[in-house]
Order: sequence, then C-alpha cells, then structure tokens
Amino acid sequence: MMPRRCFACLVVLAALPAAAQDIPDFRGAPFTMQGGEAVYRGICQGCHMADAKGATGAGSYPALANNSKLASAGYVLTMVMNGYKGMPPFRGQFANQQIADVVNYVRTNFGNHFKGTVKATDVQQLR
Amino acid sequence: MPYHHRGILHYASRLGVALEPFTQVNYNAYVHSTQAYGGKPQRYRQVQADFHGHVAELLAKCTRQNALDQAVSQEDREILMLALRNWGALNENYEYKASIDSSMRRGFTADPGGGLKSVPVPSEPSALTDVLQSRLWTAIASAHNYEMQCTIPTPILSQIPMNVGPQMRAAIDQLPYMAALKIGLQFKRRFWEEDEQIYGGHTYTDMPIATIGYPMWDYFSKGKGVLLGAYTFGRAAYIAASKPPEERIKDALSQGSQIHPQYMSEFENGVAVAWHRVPWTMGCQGAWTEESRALHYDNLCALDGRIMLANEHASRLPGWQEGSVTSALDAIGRLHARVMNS
Repeated sequence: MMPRRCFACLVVLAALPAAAQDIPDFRGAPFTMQGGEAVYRGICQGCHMADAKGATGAGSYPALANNSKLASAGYVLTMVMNGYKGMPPFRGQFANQQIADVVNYVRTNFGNHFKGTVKATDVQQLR
Repeated sequence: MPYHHRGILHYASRLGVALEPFTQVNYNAYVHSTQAYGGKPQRYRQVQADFHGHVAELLAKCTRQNALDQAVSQEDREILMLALRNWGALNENYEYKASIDSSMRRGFTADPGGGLKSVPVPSEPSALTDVLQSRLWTAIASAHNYEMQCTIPTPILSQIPMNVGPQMRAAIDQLPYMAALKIGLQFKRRFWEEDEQIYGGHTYTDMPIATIGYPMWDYFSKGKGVLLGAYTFGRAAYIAASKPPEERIKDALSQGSQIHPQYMSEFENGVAVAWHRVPWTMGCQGAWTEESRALHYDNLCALDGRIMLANEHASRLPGWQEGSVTSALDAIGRLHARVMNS
C-alpha cells in the first residue's frame, strides 16, 4: 500500500519541489470563501465530514458535533491556527475574519450551543 | 522514480520489480495559464523555444555592447556568441525571429513534407513581453527539476498510545500530512494521441487541476484510454477534498476541457481520491516547514528508548520511497553501531 502511495506522489513532487511550493502559480486559488458556513463547507468538511461527525479508519478525525471540548473557544481557535497531530495549521491560509467565523460556526452548529463569540481581533492576538 | 534514488532502485533491481519508463517532459504536451494567450494552451516546445530564444538574443546584445567584458574573457565571448546562437536558435544577426532554425525548435506552421506541398512554413515566435507576462516559464522550469516509507504516518502514529519522551512526542504531534488529490478519467478514445499527437508526459496549468498526465504505454491502442485528470496539492487539494467525488470529477472535466475540448464528448467514467480521506494515511506526505524541521527533525529521527522511526517523513525526501529506504538504512546503521559499541 505504501509504495503505491509514495509512487503516486511522484509526479507533483517532480513538478513542485519544496523550494517552489510557495510560488502562487499552479498551486490553486487562495481560500476566498467568506462566512463560517462557507469556510466549513469549503475546507473543514473534507476531514470532519459534512455532518461534522468525523471519521475513523486507522486514525480518527474527531467529531465536532456534540463535542464538549468546543466549550472553550480558545481551544478551537488554537486548533485551527496551530494544528495538532493530524490537523494541519491554518494560520497562514486564512484571514482573521475567516478563522473567527468558522470557529463561531462550529461552536453554534451540529448540536453545539456554546456561548461567547470569537472576533477577528482575538485571532490577531494569536499571530 | 529519479535515477539518483539509488536506494529504491537497488531494491527494485534485487527484487526483480519491473520498471516502466516515466515521461516527465513531453515537448508536445501543453503548458497552460488562464491568464495568458487568451487562456489557450500552448505547446511546451513553443514556450520553451521562445523563452530561450529571447533570452539568448538579449544576452547576445549585452555581449556585443561589451556589457560582459569584466565577467567574460575575449576568447570566451566569441564562444559565448556561438553558443547563444546555437542555444536560442538565433539568426546570423543574433536575432530570435521566424526562420527555419527557430522553427526547428518551436515547430513549423506547416511542416516540411514530400511531393509538391513540401515547402515548410516557419512559425512566428511570441513577443518577449508575452512570454514573460504569461509566467509559463514557471512550468518550463518545474519540468526540469532534479527531484521529480513508511512505518506509520504521523497523523496515525500521533493517535496511537506510545511510550516516548516529550521531544519525540512533540515532533510526532506537530507533523500533519499534506493534502493531495488525484483524479483518473476514462475516455472513449485516446484523443490526446489521435488529435493532438501527445504521447505520454504532462501538461501543466494554473487551474486547480494543476497537471494532466498522459499514459506512457500502449501508444496507438484503439478504444478506451485513462489519463490523470488532476494532481493537486495544497489549497486546491483541500478545496477539492471537501467535495464529494462526483463533484471533483465534474470540476476536473470543466477545467480540463479548456485544454482538451474533447473531454466532454469523450468522457466515460472517473475516480477521485483524496489522500486525506485514505483511512490508513490521512494525508499524502509529511508536511514539513523550514521552522518545524529546525525544531523537530532531529528529535523525530533520534532513538528514543526502544523506539526509532524510519519513514519518508523521517527524511528530506518526503513522499518518496527513496526517503523511506535511506531513512531505514540510516536507522539500522545507527542501531548496528550502538549494539556493536555496547
């Protein structure tokens, strides 16, 4: 299984070595979606799934639905900004408002009803 | 698999694994930008010839205006002028213009042939500004790169309880895997060969699909053909991975049809795989940054109690089997030295 995966990485590695990865051309458009729902649908649901119930294989993508850890806005915010374990850091990919919006969105949807709103200025403080 | 990945090639040779040719560059495939040449794909050959030709012409001008006298000796200047004319397909006045010579690089408007209609018609090079503004030179350069395993990927390993020290723990927990996505598209016929004379190799585009890869075997075969319809990393891969597979394929078709209009009428079937959704890897390869490498790489590779990691992510060739092999050899070498010295 592994060799197949690694072999499959071959083409783009050939086309895009580490040094070239920051060149904007040929890397796809920046994340332009606005609003918490659009960010969630556009990016987050790729791993956390459309119903935010996560997924489990050899490892897990945690459910955000009915997740008591989301009670702490700072926890969610730090996760999105810095990543942890399988979760990649998104601080460089999103503007402050996009991050604030998606944190607020997951904390108030999917069975979550947590109080407190994250603002763009809160995100800025973590930069 | 590059020829300098000697570790994995050695294994392939020892284990009798048959290798097939892999065509990285095809001068007759396309480079494409939605922002250049009216969004029309350009043959790799033409863009490269025009880029080299114009640069050679400029450099020849500098040389003749004595701008390089300090850097290049008189004798070398004469050789340089010869070389520039040869490399850039310049005419006797050191200009890059439509001619038989330049068309031997970029292709003809009408190819030389036999019989009465045999006279070749040279093609007209693009203007320097168009070549530069197109930014397609990034695709030309990337096709020339030198670089074109796994115990357990860190996104999985980080979720397995294990008894390691804080430094290795931190190194494992900070290494997510990159997003990547591939789409295979099946068509009724090999129109890229039949209509466009593309036999293997790759087309590069600035659209999210990034790459189209053509099969490098069974040329001229009739009937169905499968090509690589998208190979995306980074942001484009995140966006595509968040969509259902059917929508990813729809996107790949609508983008790809801007390069190959035959896409829509010839399409039969497709498959789209996002590495982030492969349950046993949760990503394509270790997503190192310069900062994270400086902080954590040595700790990730170091022996910790009874645990030592060997993997593509424990190498400077992430995503390559060669990274896995050399990382494993290095780990075994260190273990061996430790045992022999104890």
